[in-house]
Amino acid sequence: MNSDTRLLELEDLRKWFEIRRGFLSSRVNYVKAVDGVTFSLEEGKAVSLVGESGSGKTTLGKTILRLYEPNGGRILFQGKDITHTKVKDLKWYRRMASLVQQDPFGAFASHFTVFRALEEPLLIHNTVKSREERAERVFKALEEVRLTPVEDFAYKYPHMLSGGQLQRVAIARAIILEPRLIVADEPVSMLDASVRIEILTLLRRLQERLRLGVIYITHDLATTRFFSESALIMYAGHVMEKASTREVLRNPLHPYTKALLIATPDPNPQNRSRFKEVPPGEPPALVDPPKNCRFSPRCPRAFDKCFKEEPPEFEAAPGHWVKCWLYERS
Amino acid sequence: MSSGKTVLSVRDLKLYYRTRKGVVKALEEINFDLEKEDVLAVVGESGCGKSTLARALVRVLPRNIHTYEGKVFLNGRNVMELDEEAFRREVRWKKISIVFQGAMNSFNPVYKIGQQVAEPLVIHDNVEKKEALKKARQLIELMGMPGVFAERYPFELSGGMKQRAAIAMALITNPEIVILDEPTSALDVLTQANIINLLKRIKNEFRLSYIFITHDLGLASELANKVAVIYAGKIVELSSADVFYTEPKHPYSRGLIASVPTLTTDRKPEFISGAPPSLIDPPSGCRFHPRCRFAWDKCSAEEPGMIKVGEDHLVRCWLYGDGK
Repeated sequence: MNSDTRLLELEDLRKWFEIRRGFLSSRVNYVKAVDGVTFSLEEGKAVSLVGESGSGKTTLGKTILRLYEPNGGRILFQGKDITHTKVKDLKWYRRMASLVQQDPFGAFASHFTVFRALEEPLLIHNTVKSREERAERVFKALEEVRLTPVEDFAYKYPHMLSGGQLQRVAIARAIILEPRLIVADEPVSMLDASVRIEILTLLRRLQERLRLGVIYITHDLATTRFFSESALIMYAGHVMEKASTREVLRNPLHPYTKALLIATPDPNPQNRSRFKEVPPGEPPALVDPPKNCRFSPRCPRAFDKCFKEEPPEFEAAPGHWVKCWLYERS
Repeated sequence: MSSGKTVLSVRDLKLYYRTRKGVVKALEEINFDLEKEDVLAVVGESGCGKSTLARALVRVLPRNIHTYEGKVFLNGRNVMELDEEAFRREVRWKKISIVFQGAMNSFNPVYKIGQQVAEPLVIHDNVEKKEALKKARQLIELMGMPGVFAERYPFELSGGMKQRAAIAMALITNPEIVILDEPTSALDVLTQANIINLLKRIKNEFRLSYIFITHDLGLASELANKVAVIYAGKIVELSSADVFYTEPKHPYSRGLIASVPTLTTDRKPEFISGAPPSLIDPPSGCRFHPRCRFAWDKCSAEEPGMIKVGEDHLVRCWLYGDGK
């Protein structure tokens, strides 16, 4: 890996939320939503952050965008440390990194037309001075997301568009400032199955054409395969496994990843005659979690050490990391 | 699988809504049979009428009904002829119960879970409250939760647990048919798999029939032995699951299957371009023709009926039968 092409590097990133029990209590607890995440993303590549609700994947996405300030670790964007940069000095980063949210229906002001919504970032960042040029940029962005003929869509209000169309507008808004990185937080989970693939295909094409880095946050392992180069499996604030997407799906190592793969429904009429072997229970609360493997209470292969000590990340195969004691080399 | 006894037969069910913009033709020409221990998956995109079908079967409908007609035979008896009171007393929840979409979020926050699970029994069977609570507790245990959860309030349970409680509530009156309207759509993958396991187990234990409404064909295959694909208010393909998943016939069904990303094959998922039509003014002829790759003149001119393409396999498409 050439370091020149590195877009984003995270080193042991932590985001803990403080909670106080009781009004005057001085006792502080932490919700350790993201607890030690390390990975890097190259220019023009896509990484999937896979996890269930409460795994910390959205918090990680927002921390990467510096919508949250980390409590520990480092974020390097194009080699520049932005971990603790003050919000007022981050405006350039806002242009470079953008967000596509889960709910397209809640992502737009209802009294703004599509045109106005797309013009907004250009006005805020004042990158394009003339009105004509701004219009050109808006139309170009709409074309990029295939909302054509653009004149038909530009003057519509959000309520006049379907979920899929609105999500395209959200993507148009995310690319209009020509960023280098997009964080797409469950961009298709609220859409119909057939529309999902349409939106993901579009996102993939833009990523390749514009050489964007994409962080695709999802709970659906099956969609990672064709839409990302690498995958991180998150559970309870930890990265349990990371490797190329292909490797994670072909050769999953962590018991949690294996469970996720078994649980993901595949269309096959034989399914109805068998039960799925999935661990019972639910993810743990993240308020001051114990220092052990966070999956151990549900893990079918857990042994003594798993309940006592948190495993480090082991490199089980070149480029394939897994946070599990089963892969400790003796 | 199915024992051959037909428990539910729907014939020419039609449902129109009246709205300010015009009459919405939500369901038309709905025909299917459900045998004992069958699981019929009703699949399609949002806005195709899946949830409306579920509601029409238990007659939980909004007020702006324009037309609601057809025949629904429950164990040979046409329940469409029953008046509202008789339907409530004899059919809804007694014979056909439903787990609504997002049921886990519709528990009343100020009542304990057990009380709410027990409620249908008190209302429909005039069972003593104490007796009903006992039964609720048993069912909650059967759902894989500690019985003491009956004493908890909804906020004290996770999403998956509340969904289990909603299923318990649907079972408490010993119905023959349970309608499951997207029963796992807001749950995590592992929780979803656990709930599906539970649904399989109780189906066998209580010898239930399910109507399973979902937009996820992968998930549908976990339970269904029959599949009905619904598009723009009409069933466009009706088949056994085994045939459907290996040989889908309707271009819409094929598109839906192709859009499911799989983990086991290298096939790249594809999408169906366009969106379902408005049901106020549906397209002429076959309602799918504006999005169909194979459409020709006949498809926009004339509407196909259900064409038999095999044993228990019907398709609403001119590509089959003598249409071409």
